[in-house]
Amino acid sequence: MDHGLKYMNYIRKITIVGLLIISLVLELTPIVQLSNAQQVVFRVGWGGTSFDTFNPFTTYTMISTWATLNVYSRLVRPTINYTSYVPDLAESWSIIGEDVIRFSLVKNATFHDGKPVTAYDVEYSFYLANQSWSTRAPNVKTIRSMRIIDEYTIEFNVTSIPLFLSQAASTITIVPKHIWANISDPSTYNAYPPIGSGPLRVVDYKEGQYIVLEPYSNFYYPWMLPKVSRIIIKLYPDVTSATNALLAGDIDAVGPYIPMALYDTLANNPQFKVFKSPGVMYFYIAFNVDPEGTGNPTLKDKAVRLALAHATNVSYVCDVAWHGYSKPIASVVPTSNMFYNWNLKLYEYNLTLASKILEDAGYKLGSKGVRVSPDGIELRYTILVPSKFPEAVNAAQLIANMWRQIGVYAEVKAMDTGSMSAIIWQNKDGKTILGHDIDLWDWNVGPDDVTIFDVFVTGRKLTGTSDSGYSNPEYDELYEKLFEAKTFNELLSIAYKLQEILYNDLPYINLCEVEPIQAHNTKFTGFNYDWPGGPFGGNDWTTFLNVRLTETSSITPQQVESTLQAPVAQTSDQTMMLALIAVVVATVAVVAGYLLVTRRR
Amino acid sequence: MFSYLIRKIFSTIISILLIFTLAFIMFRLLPGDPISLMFRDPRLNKDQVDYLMRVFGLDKPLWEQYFIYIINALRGNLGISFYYKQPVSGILIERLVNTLILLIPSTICSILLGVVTGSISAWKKNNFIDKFISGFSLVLYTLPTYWLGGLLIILSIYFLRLPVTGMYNYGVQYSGLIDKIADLLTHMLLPFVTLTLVSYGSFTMITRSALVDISTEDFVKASYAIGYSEKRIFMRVLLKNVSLPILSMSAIAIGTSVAGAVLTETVFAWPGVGRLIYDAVMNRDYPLLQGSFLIISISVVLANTIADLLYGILDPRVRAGGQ
Repeated sequence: MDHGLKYMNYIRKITIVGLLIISLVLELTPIVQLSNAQQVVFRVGWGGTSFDTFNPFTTYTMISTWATLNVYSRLVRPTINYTSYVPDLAESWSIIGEDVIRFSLVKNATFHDGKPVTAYDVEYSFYLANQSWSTRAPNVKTIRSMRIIDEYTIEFNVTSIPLFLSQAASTITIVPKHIWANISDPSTYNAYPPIGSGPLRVVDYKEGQYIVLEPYSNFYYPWMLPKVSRIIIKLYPDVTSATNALLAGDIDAVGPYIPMALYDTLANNPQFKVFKSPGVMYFYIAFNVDPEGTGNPTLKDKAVRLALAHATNVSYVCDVAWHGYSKPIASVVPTSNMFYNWNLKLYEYNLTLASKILEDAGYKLGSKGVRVSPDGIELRYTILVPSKFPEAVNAAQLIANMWRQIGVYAEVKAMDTGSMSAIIWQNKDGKTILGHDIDLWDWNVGPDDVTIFDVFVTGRKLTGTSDSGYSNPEYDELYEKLFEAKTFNELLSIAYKLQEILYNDLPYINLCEVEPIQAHNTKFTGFNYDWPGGPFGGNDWTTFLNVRLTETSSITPQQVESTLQAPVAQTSDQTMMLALIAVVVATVAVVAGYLLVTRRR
Repeated sequence: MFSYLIRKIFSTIISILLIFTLAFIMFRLLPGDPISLMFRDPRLNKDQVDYLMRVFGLDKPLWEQYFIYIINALRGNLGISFYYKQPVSGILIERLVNTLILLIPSTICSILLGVVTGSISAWKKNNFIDKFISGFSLVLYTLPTYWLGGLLIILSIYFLRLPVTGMYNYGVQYSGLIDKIADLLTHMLLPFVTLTLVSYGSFTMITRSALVDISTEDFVKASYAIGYSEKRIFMRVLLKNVSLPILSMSAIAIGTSVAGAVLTETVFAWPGVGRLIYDAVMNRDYPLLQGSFLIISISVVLANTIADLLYGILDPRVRAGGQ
């Protein structure tokens, strides 16, 4: 019994020491918060896809583009509706004839390393963008040639001025030639630290953790400089972690969206502003119409696809699966895209009509309640859907139930996108063929993006972008004309026709455009909620420039010089900390061991 | 003892070489092609796909890729991450340090707590304290990490006001290292508690069951017959003999804990190896996956080798058996 009491005493002592350590940690918290209050820091969390690279010519992720939107300059910047432009590095521009556009650059622009920005840097940046490895190559497809007039004037001879402005002048980032020309392989260069000439510069970055941006005081338009002294983009593995961080006060805003499960918690808290913005992401159903594809061949029959379109209540699916935060769309681009064809209407949900189309085409109901083609093939399909989107899985189930009512059986298979890709794009005798029946997936299409039309060009199944295997020479020919449109109206007209062809041929049934719900702490203001994708969705270049404290906020703005340590120093700090923890743990273990041994004696 | 040592080191080297091969094959069996997966983008054209395949060596036959990988790995070059376009070793070391900062204290705490409470439980076998400790350990052992982490996050948001994500208040200017450590500790508290609690249960149960098993052995009865005090039997006979299963369990725990924190790191957005592996799997980033797998496997193999060697020291029968 004595020993039991002694053990209880040990436990008591351990508990007391543990509690003391915890209280010490809790007591130390205010010290850190005090340091944070010395300056106006705006912290935004991004959940989901990781940041990949600062190289603007090889990045594929939205977060990488957004984080550097104001680090690198562009020639011009789009306005909120993306139909007009405001000056950036080009203070003015003039159109000469039908094919030539001349840009006059600001003369006091400097890169973040202090070197001046000239027309040579612009020319070199467009040269890099046009390389075969560059993700920006499709954006500069309209350029025939470039000519430097003088150090601050550059001229582009292009096939389509409106398309050049939207796809190239406003998107190609200007990088310093004096740095990039010395890189042996720019395609694998991660460009850290990134040197641009924009209003923000990157002062610190930790892969998978955060990016710290600060105003670049020598920016050529001082009035555009941010109203906060520092912007921190924190990277989270998913939107739930990011939203939890917002609730806990770790960050001030969250993007690209908040999970529905946390919507009420945020919306009912006056500390946060929750809002809905125009969507840039949409979901669709793709049919395997690849002439060489191995999926159920009945899907190659347009009558079947038309019947399935009439048997899909898109409005209902959007309402139910996305809890009212999505809207039905009739085209392959979201409504926030400047080329969206408003003349297209949703296919009427009419099961009688759908059944009649199938009957007329010879698809009779079989003995098992499933329709059978004149060749004896059952209308049984598999719908592949990414499991990471529970709403999409739900939508696929709803659609399968609707189709069952016209004698079409669809099985929904949710899986990771890697497994989906392996089923869809298969290699057979050295050729890529599509091996699935149907998939329900998403595309992110920016407000001025036309590259989505490229997905339906013949042969795009080879690159793993076309999941329908659609091939139509008429479409291919018209698509090429897009790059020769001389006026915006002509461009719009071609884009409309492309959408009409796809609408009629039905390689896709377009479903729902997801309207992102985002949130921020009300201590900050200055956001544009109507920007496509929302202020924290990755497209809005004004977010970091306009964010400011609300007038009622108790935090005093106070600009301070950056004293952040260099990345190398931070790593050594980490090692020091690890060593410190190891020393503490070892000391505790030694002391505990010593006490134990001496007591035993 | 020397030949035992040589044998162990030799088998460790063989294991590590097998791991190298396994790491290469295993991830290539995953469905999906890394290029189309990582870059599902309408902008991707055939030239870019071909270029990326060439740059990352994916256009070469599998056997050639394997030899390049082995030669590079032996030189300490784990390749370039497809996704981050940075050397894998650099990314891994940084993340590994973050993981160890969290895992070393929590693993040690869970072992110490587990041994202490497991001993008390065995000491007080079948009474209220034993039932309470056993029940409590069982509950903690079965609790999903996500659930426990989520619960702590909710508690923190509404009551504790502790940071729930990340490692530091990024971008904060610290007045000194103490401030920075304090910041780290506040961020570390919730994931540390989660990790400690989820692994604490198994140590308690193993310690208890080993002690209870050993207490029925003849040499324990003999000790009683000699007239040793109960305390002496417990401290000198039982605890000493139970050190072997605890040691092997600890070796496995330390080895696997490098990767075992995936869930905790995800819940608390702790920038460690676990989260890196999760992202790498989703992106089919072969070099990063191979590198992570190598590090984890080598940690497990080394931890087990060290445990085997300690076994030899603690228990002469192991050495003798080997001979």
